[in-house]
Amino acid sequence: MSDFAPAAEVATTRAALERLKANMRVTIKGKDDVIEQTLVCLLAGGHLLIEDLPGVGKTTLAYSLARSMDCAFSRIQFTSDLLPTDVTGVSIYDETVKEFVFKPGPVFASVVLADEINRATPKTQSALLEVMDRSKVTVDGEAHAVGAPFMVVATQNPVDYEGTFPLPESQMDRFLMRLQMGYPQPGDEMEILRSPRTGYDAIALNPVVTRSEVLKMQALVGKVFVEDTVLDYILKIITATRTEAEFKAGVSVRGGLALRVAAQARALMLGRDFVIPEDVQLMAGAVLAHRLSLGRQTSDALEERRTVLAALRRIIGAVPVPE
Amino acid sequence: MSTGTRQPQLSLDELRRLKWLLGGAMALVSLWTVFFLDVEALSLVAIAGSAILAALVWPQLPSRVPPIIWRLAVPAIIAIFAADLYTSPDTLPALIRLGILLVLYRTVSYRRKREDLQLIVLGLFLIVVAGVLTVSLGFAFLLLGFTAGALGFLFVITLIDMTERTAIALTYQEMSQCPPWARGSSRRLFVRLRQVADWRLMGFAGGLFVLVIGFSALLFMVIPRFEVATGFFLDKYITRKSRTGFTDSVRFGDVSELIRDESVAMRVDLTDSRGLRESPYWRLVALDEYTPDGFRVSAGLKGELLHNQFVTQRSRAAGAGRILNPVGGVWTFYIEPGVSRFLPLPGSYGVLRLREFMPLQTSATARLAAFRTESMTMTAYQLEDVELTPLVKDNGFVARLKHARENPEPKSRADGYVPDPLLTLRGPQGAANDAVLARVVREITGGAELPAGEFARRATAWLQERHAYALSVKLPAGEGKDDIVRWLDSNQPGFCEYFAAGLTVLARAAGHPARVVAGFHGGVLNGFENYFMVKNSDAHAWAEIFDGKSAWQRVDPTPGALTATSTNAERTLNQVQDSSWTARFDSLRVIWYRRIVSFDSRTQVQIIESVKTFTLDSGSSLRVRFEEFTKRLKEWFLRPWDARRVVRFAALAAAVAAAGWALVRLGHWGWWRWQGWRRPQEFDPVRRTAGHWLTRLRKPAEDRLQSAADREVVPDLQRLRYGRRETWPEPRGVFKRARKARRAR
Repeated sequence: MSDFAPAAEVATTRAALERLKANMRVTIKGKDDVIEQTLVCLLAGGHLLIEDLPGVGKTTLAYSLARSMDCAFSRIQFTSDLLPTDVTGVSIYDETVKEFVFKPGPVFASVVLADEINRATPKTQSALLEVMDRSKVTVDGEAHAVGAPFMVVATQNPVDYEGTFPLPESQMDRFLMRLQMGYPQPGDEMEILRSPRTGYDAIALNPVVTRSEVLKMQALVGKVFVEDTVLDYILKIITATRTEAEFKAGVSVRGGLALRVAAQARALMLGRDFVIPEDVQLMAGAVLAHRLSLGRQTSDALEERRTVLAALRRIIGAVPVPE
Repeated sequence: MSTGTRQPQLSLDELRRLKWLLGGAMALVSLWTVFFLDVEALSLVAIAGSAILAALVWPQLPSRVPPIIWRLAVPAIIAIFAADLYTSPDTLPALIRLGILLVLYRTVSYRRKREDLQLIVLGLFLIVVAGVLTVSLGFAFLLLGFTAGALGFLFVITLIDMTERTAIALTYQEMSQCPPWARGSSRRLFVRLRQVADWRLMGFAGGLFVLVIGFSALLFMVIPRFEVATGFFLDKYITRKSRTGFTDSVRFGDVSELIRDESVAMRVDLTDSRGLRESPYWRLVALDEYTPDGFRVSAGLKGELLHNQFVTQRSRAAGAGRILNPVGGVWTFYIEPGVSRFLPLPGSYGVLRLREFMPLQTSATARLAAFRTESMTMTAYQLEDVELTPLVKDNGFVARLKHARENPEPKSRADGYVPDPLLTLRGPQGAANDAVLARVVREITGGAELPAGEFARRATAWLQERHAYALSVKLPAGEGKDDIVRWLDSNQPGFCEYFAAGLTVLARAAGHPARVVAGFHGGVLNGFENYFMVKNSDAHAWAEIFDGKSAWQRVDPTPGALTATSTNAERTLNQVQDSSWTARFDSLRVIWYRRIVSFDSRTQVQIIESVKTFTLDSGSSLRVRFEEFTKRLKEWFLRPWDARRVVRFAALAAAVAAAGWALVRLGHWGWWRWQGWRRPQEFDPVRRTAGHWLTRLRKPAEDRLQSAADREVVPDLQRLRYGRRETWPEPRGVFKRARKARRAR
């Protein structure tokens, strides 16, 4: 990383992110940590998986993010009869020009909300996941770039399992982070109840950052400096997950890279051009937990999540912090 | 397995359950060894055993124990051990009781990898102690070494775990949580075990186990006799057997075959090699019957040996007479396999001691000792009160000879048990032989009747004048004459067998009873461990001639007999010390023999007694010192306290505290130095110092709000520690501010 992150750019990034945060706070009450992590995910150029019960504000979060950035937003409601072309788009024969014309699907947007992603068949899921990986749609041998920035916010319900196709581990790995919304605090919920708004279409937010600004910020993340001992710290955490008896398998190399990028993004969000161990510690839960599965059976996904997080916390507590 | 049903497999929980059972079984086995020891711990073993059994049957039981008990368990064990050490005068039993308690603690609590390893080592400790106190010392040394290795192994694993922080130890709370695997019933586990049992695998594993044990046993038996230098041991067995010259008969040429064999035939360990002036003749077998092919042990002598066969461990020499001038202390013989069934004896001896009870044949008339068969393994025996004498006493010989002359024909049954004395006078038969022998005897004696000693001297001189020494012999042709007579008649060179046989034949022709004796002569003293190495090439034959009264006199007619059979120049005993590398390797073998070959358990008992006395003494002296100390402390306290004394005491206490504090600081400083030293060289000192300041500023700040100074300096410190070097602020200024911020707290 020979590139510098110029101090001025770091400062403007911080200011832009503060604006974004403030804007999103208008609609998402009392969930500052979730907003921050969402922004980290955006900065890092990753995709987000939100796993929580219906009606806690997942869609609102994604929508507010899209609206605040002056970007196209689309929503795909995943069902078991959804076809891959419903996601990616399809070529149809146009009589007027006498040839096949590509009609872009809903995935051609900057922020794509994939609601209840585990309800779709694996074929459709993988169509989306391919787009996530390559930021491109290939239809009839022709590649169509979906544009930048591109961020998929997928949601799934951890409790209601009937008739779902759980995402395989390899595909979970494609998401940079997994977040939980959780219920709001009573005070915040009171405020939500007081507000007249009902649906997310009613959200009226003004964009506070432009698309080009977002792209510039994303480019800056790679320039955030990571000192060798901090890299070593990341490596030790990753290695520890691989030897921990509780887990079926440890975190992949992609997981380690994801942790580094997330820590860099968080440092940038806080106006730093270098990563400190605290960044790594605070991002580890969101970045690593969904990439780990337990070696034993648990009664439900919530318990598994709790156990994985507890084990991860134990590992982070045990790995010596570089001092 | 592409077809058929899949072999069922145990789940992880079932495996954990199995591990629990195995650990318990292992612990019970190690506790069992305590029964072999004379230690007052039987009630403790009973309690521990039943607790472990209960935990085995109900694995949920440990989870019923509240965390506080687990927390207190180790301090309690230490306290019990300390009290035990204080009250019992002996340290070893206290250690064993500590071992039992620790095994109990580790077995009835839930375990992870580290705790499992600890259990193994604890169990091993008890087994090793039992081994040390009950089995032979060599075994104990091995096991002790193994334990040291295992302890080191455990230590390293713990270190690695500490570094990687992967296997995190159970907390006391977790110890009281019932893990999922402990919930199912034991019966179900056994049903599952039966389901998953793969009989082919078990058969294979069982076979492998038997194979390994069998191979180890074989190695254990063979290794002390295994000579790396000479290659594969089986080959050695076979060739040695065919080469040996020391059977019941010696044909001409047998011994010279051996002379080319440079391997060691036996090793003789002397407790005291002073007073040993000459190189010994190691007498193996007396050959009293003449045959045209050579000499052999007569049926009568064999009968005597058989008749005097007793299963014994300690045999007193019969008819040896009083030992006037014993040398060498205790002589311990280690005979290589396949040398002979006869035992090499350097002279008359008082007592012959074997390692274990076994059939030993002896002959008083010929002073022989033999086993029933030639041993295929290394044999060892000891001689006490050894006198290196050229005489073999046989007081009854004159009477037996007279009796035999008077009753030539009828043989009583008892005659089968003694050698026929007339055989020692019988030589080659036939007119041609007689003519030659009579001529030679006349040449030697000049027709006079000479006493045996004088005859032997003159005959030796005659032989050495006529015949030189050589290892190969060409015999001239001669009708109707025996080999030895033809040799005598010629002036061909010969080797020891020819000289010995020639002298014997001549003596018999002259009317003196004589016989051929085979054995070894000489050997070199190993300079490293001070023992005799006798090689196969030291094989020798000589003659014994009866002195007419009561003893057989050794006569060695071979030229250069003092130098044994070798053609080297004369060697005296002091000059034949071997200090070569081969000798060095050979001495290792004797050290090993000394360890594993035990003739009685006395020395072992002595060593154990001394260990016991030492622990007893150390325990009681510790107690005495502690008591003295407490008494003095009490007296010191009871002395009247005046102001000066209080001040002095306070000053002393302050000095001690200051010294302690300084020590701790010094330790910290050393720790930091070490930490710094441990890091790679390129680790920047600025980064290190910044990290140091960050830690010092962070730790107390976790509890209270950070001060303004902290807020200002911490980001700079962070930048110094983690940031890019090019963006650093001036380090010294930052550190100065950090010092200020710390002081401001």
